[in-house]
Formats: sequence, C-alpha cells, structure tokens
Amino acid sequence: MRALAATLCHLAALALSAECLAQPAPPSPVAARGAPSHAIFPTQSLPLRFDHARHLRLGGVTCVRCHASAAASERVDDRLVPPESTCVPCHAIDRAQPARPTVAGAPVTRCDGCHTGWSADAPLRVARVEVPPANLRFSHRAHTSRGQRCESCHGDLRAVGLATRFELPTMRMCVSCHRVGGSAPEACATCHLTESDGVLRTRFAEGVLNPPRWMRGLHHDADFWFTHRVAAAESAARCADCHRDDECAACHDGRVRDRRTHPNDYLTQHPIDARLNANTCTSCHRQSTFCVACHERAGVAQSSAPAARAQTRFHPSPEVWSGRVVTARHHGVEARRSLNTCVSCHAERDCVTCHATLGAGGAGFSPHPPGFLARCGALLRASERPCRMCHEDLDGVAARCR
Amino acid sequence: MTDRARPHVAAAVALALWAPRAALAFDAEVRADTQAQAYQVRGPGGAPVLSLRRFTETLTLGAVERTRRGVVWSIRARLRVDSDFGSACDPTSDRCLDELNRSRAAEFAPLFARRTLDLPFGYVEGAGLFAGTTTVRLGRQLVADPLGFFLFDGARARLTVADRLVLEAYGGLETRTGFPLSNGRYERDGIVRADRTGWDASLAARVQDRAAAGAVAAAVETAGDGPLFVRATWRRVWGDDGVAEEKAAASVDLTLSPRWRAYAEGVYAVPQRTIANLLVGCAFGDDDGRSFGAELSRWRPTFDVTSVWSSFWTDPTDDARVRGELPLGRGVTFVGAAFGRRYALSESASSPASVALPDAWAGGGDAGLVLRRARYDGSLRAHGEGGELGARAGADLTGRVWLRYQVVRLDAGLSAWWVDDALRPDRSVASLAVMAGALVRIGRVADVQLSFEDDMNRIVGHRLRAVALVTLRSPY
Repeated sequence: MRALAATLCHLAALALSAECLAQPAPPSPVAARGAPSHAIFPTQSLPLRFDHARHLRLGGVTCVRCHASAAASERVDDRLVPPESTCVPCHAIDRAQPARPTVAGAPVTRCDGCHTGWSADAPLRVARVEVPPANLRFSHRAHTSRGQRCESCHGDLRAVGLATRFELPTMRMCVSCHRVGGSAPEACATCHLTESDGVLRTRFAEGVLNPPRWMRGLHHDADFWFTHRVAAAESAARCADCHRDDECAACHDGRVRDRRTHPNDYLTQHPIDARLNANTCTSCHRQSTFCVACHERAGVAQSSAPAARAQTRFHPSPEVWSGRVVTARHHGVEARRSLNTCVSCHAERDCVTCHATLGAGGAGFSPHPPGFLARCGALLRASERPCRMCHEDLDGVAARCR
Repeated sequence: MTDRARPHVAAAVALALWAPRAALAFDAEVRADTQAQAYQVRGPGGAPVLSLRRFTETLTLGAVERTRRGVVWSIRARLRVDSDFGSACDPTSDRCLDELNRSRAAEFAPLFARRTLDLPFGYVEGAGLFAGTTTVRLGRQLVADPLGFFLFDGARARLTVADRLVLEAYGGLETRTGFPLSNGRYERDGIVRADRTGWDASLAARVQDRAAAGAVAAAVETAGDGPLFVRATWRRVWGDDGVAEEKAAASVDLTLSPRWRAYAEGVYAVPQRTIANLLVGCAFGDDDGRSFGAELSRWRPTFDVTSVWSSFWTDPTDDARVRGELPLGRGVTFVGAAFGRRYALSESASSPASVALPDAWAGGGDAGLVLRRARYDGSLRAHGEGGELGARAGADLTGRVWLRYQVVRLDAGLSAWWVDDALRPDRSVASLAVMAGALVRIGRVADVQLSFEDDMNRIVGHRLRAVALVTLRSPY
C-alpha cells in the first residue's frame, strides 16, 4: 500500500500528503560509479525534497523556467539553484504559516514540502542548500550560445528526482567536443584551473585531481608508483600538464632514498636486488656515476684506493668465478646476464687485462658474442676507441669486420 | 626654469628614461628544499666505515608570463648544492683517510667531492608560439621518453602540424660529469669521467678526463588524446672518441575501449645492431577501480659505444608480468602482481664446442593492501622473488595519520626482510627495521619533516639513520 501510495505520489501532480513526505527522493538513474570527481565538483548538501521528473511533466515547465539565469551564466560561482521566489508563482508559500495545510490538488505549500528536516520548533529556519562552485573554469553562456542543450551535459532530467552531483558532466562527456579536431578547444587549461606557472592545479580541499581511467594509462591508481614508467615514457608532455620537472628530479635524481623501492636495511641487501633486477636499478641510477663512487669509497670496487680496499674477496672463489669449468656462477655468465652490475665496480681496464688480444698484452679471451664479426663494422665506424684498447692491429680488425 | 624646479625635472626625465617600455607581469615562485641525513656504511670486506653526513640544498625558481596572444613564457631553474661532511675512517685505529688529497694516491677517492654544485635544469620556454602551434625551450633541460632520461644544454622545439602530428627536434651538448654545474646523472654507463685538471697522469688512470659531446634528436608523435598514440624517436650523441650513443625507439598506445588499452615499446641500439628494450602489454581498468595488466618485456643492457663494454657479449632478460588491483571498499585496495623471468643464456652459443648453458629462471610476486583516506593512509605490502640466482622476500607495514589535517602528520613503519645471496652466502641475512617520523606543515609556505630509522640485522647490528627535510616555498 505504501509503495502504491509512493508511486501515485511521484506520478501525480498533486499536493504531497504525509505519506509522500516519508518517501525518499527517487533514485538517480546514473550509477554512483559514473559520478564526477569530488575534486572537480565538491560534495553538495541538498536538504531538499524535489522531483525534476514531476515538474518537467507539468505543462510549460522547462529547465529555464526555474534556472532562468543558467543560460547566461559565465562563472562557476554563479548561483544557479532557483531561489524561493522562483517557486512562489506555483507554490502558495506563506512564511507566516509554514505548516499551512495544502489545498487538495494544489502544489505543496508547507515548508517541509520541500525542505527536509524542517521543524515546527524553528519554523523559519531550514537547512542550507550548499552547492560549492566547481573547481573549473566554465561558462554556461559559451556552451548555450553554441547550441548546446541542457540535457547534452546534464542528461535527461525527466527520469530524475533530486538532481545531484550525478547529473553534472564527467570529463569523458566534455572531451567529446573538447578534443583535437573537435568543435571546442582541447587544451586542459580551457576548463581546469592552473597554478601561476601554467601547470594544472591538482590539489583542492576536496581531494586530489587524478586523470580518468580511460586516459591512456595515466590514472594514478594505488600501484601507480611502481607502474608509471610506461605512461611517463610515452606521455612526458602529458605528465607535464600537471607535474613540473622538479617532481621527476626529486625522485629520479634525488638524494634521499625512497623507502617504497628501497625498504629496510637496503644498503646491506641491495646487491641481491641489483643482481636479480638490474633493469629496474637503471631507471634511477647509473652504475658509472652513482654506484662506482660509493663502491670505491666503501672498498668494494677493484679500483678502490689501496688504503680503502676490502681485505676479503667479494666474489666467489677463483675456481668458481674464473675457472675453466663454466657454471651459472662463473663471472662470464654473470657478465653476459647482467654486465651493468659489473660496471658498478669495475673499470674497463679490469676486463681488458684478460680480454685483450695476446698482442695487446691480454690473455686473448674474446668477450664478443657469437656472430660479432657480422656487425662489428658498425661499432668500429661509430668509435675506434674500444677496439684500440684490446686489439693491436686495428687495420686487421677493420678488414675482418663488416 | 627655476633652480628649485630643475632637480624635479631632471628626476622626471631620469624616470622616463629608466622606465620599462612594456610592463612585465611575471608570476614567480621560489622553492627551497633542505635535506640533511646522517648514517654509517661499512663495506663487506672490512673496509673503512663511512660516516655520511649529507646535506643537500635545492633551490627551484619559476616565473611565468602570459601574453594576450596566448603565448606563455616561462623560466624554470633548479640549483643544487650536495655536500657530504662525513669521513671514511678505520674503526680500529680511528685514522681517517685523506680521500681528497691527490698527493696520497693510496687514499685518494677520485669520484668523491666534499661539495658539488649542479644545475639539474634551467631553461626558458615559450609555449603557444605561432598561433599556438609551437613550443620552444632553450637551456638545460630533461627529456623523458622511451630512449630514457636525457639531460642536455641546448634547444628543443615542438611543432604541432594540423592538430594531428607533433614534430620534435632537439640538440645541443649532453650534460656530462666534470663540467661546471654538471653531473653525469643521466650519462650512459661505460666511461667514468671527472675534471682531471691538475691531476698527475698516473693518478686514477681509469678515470677519463671530461669530454664534451654533441647531441641531436628528432621525434614525431601523434597529437591529442585520440585512441591511437604513436611516438617514434631517434637520438645520436657523439664526442671526440666517436659516437657515444645512437638509438631509435618507437612506442604505440592503443585505446581499444574505455576499459582496455594495449601498448608496445621498442628501443633499437643502432651501432650495436641490437634491440635494447622491447615491451608489449595490455591493461584493463573499469569505473569501479578494478584494474588488470599483463606485460611481456625484454631488456638487454647497453653502454656508451666508446667503451669496451658496448662490444661485450650480453644476454637478454625476459619478463612476463601480470598485475591487478581490486578495491575492497572503505578506501582499501588490494594490489597484487606476479612475474616470471628468464635470463636467456641459451639463445646463443659461442661455438659448437662451447659449453651450452641452460637459461636461468626466477619468479616472484607482490601482494598488498593499500588504505587511502583523507586523514590517514597506510599500506601492507609483501614481496617475494627467487630463483637460481638467489632470493629475497619481505613485508612492509607503513602508516601516516594527520593529527591535525594538513598541519601535523605522524608517520610510522615496520619492515621485515630476508635475502639469500647465492653468490655470497655470508651476506644472506634477515633484517628488521622500524621507522618513525613526523611532518609539520606551516601553511603553504613550509614543510618540516623528520624521520628516524633503526635497521637491525646480524651484519650491521643496528644501523641508525636520521633524515631531516625542510621545504620552503613562496605561496602561489
């Protein structure tokens, strides 16, 4: 019976009865997950009982009938929620009689017909409607003057009760026009607020702006710290819309270790991480500059000053590390697999000592990969220096290389 | 003109002459970061104990002016002083090494400097030139793309053509170690350099003298946020010893639907005639915050072409990785990842007679819970990986809570890790760490952050680390 009453209540343009007042507003047809960002459209407080659908079904009621100033609005802080005076022509509101019963068949006149939480104890006090301005640059006039209709951005209100943030546009709707080749400017700063230096303002009291999920992997999800590499390499120019160079430099060229990537006693544990994941170290560190300097001072490097050099051997025993039997622990295998970890301690001459040709004073162990002769010509043409370090006869090398 | 009026007229003329022809309305910002750290490091072989007392001061300047024609002129610069007041001392004799004294070859550390001053970037940029189509940047600048980070002094221009393509070109001198206001942070590996002015030729002969290198690069990419993004780029760096780097790269990102995207990236080292990086992946993300991704990648280290390492045998490492993220509600998200790795040792053999090596394998994964709320956040992450080369596993619990929102924050962390070093079993260790810290934010002008950490394990006993960060910035 209550359900039937509620249905009748919402369908008929009759005065609200006490039964109707107990019913919640009709649910928004837009799913919560499609709601716009709180950082863009801050949380609203709408202590109102209102049904757009019912009003729009009344003859002659259109959007502009109540939101008369919306079409000409040029600022986000313009107040576009209709004032009481907009309601008065239909609703015979009498502040002197806030609880006046509504005449059957006429629009509701009681304060609590529209204002939820109204109390007879404070008859002229109702909860304030708060619609904070969007954290955007926006002009309704610029859109309506180009033929945009209200429902283009706010959806079909004929199926909506109380309009909330869910009836505000999401960025995905905006970029249907605001895009390269679209009918509206595509620059982010067309709509988004910017700092004084032109980057987008991303931090607001209501939250932090985050690129939407559909935007080419740029959404900063919980794991973005570890996964941003691809997006940053692809779209550095896009990153620069919100981030300054110093934000990259602060970490990638930083001087304070980040505990997320270097947890615990990382100084003690880093050799095994470097050995297993040499490719990830190089995203922030260069072995020839960052690592060598510290390894030399700590006595780990072959090139450490004699007074600083470690007194014990760092690598496995010579039989395992450089013996004739090649296992996975042989230095040659380690070097093939992860040469840049070798470079974090060793200088070129450490390898040349053995890997140079016999004529050049080495032991003649070739460090080159199979098929090297087929491509060493390109390397030789690029630079003769490395060839000269190991080969005494550069002309002979040039003749052999293609 | 009376004598009394004469000074006033002179002053007026002087003012008129000195007055600027056009009013400039630059928005400026200044940010200063001060970092102080103290901790000790001891090498694994009984070497001296390094008592590090590091102090870093960074000054970032920015100024922007927008013209009526939509052109934005900006100046950005970052200056850094990095100091280490610590020492390397023998704990048994309390004697400290004279690491900066070039006449003491047995103690001299050629790459150590008590104080360095460098300019991580400093440039002037004009954006929106020529009807909004062109951006030009002059000065020291950082480029990030599939070729990796690259820092150089020179010019860079980006031109948007017909709203569809962006043409980019840049060139200048690579920022290298040994020159004033420079460090070789982004130089490729292979050659160790320093300013050897005044050094004896026999001293630290492995360290090359500084050497300038020219760089030129070009790129083309699609413009805007369309479903297909493509960037192709090429870069060449050369000096007196020849070409130091020549690489070409391409990346593709295809948005298949609002939920699915696929991407790929490849880097080719031209003189080495080898593929340095290859990556293919896909990602899924829905409006509920669920996401999933899978990647296949290949990586092979490359080096400065003028170094011997560039012609050494290197085998690639192949990774297959999946990751996912699942919101659990109330600000809690589950994140997880797993990977398998092949160290591809079997792809090539030096000769039919040489030893055939099997591939080495490893695998691992992460699992974590991340809590993100306005007034507090935290995470519990566990990681484990292992294989034929060793293993490591651990878990970190961290939390931050604003005692007074955006004013006073407390940080805490607890961490337990274990490593198994297959090459050096004596360095295998389990370690526990505790961390506590606090941040005080003074308006939008200053942040003061302090943290203390105690790492406890069999090798170091207790390693105490104290870090202080002070950030000052001009309000926007």
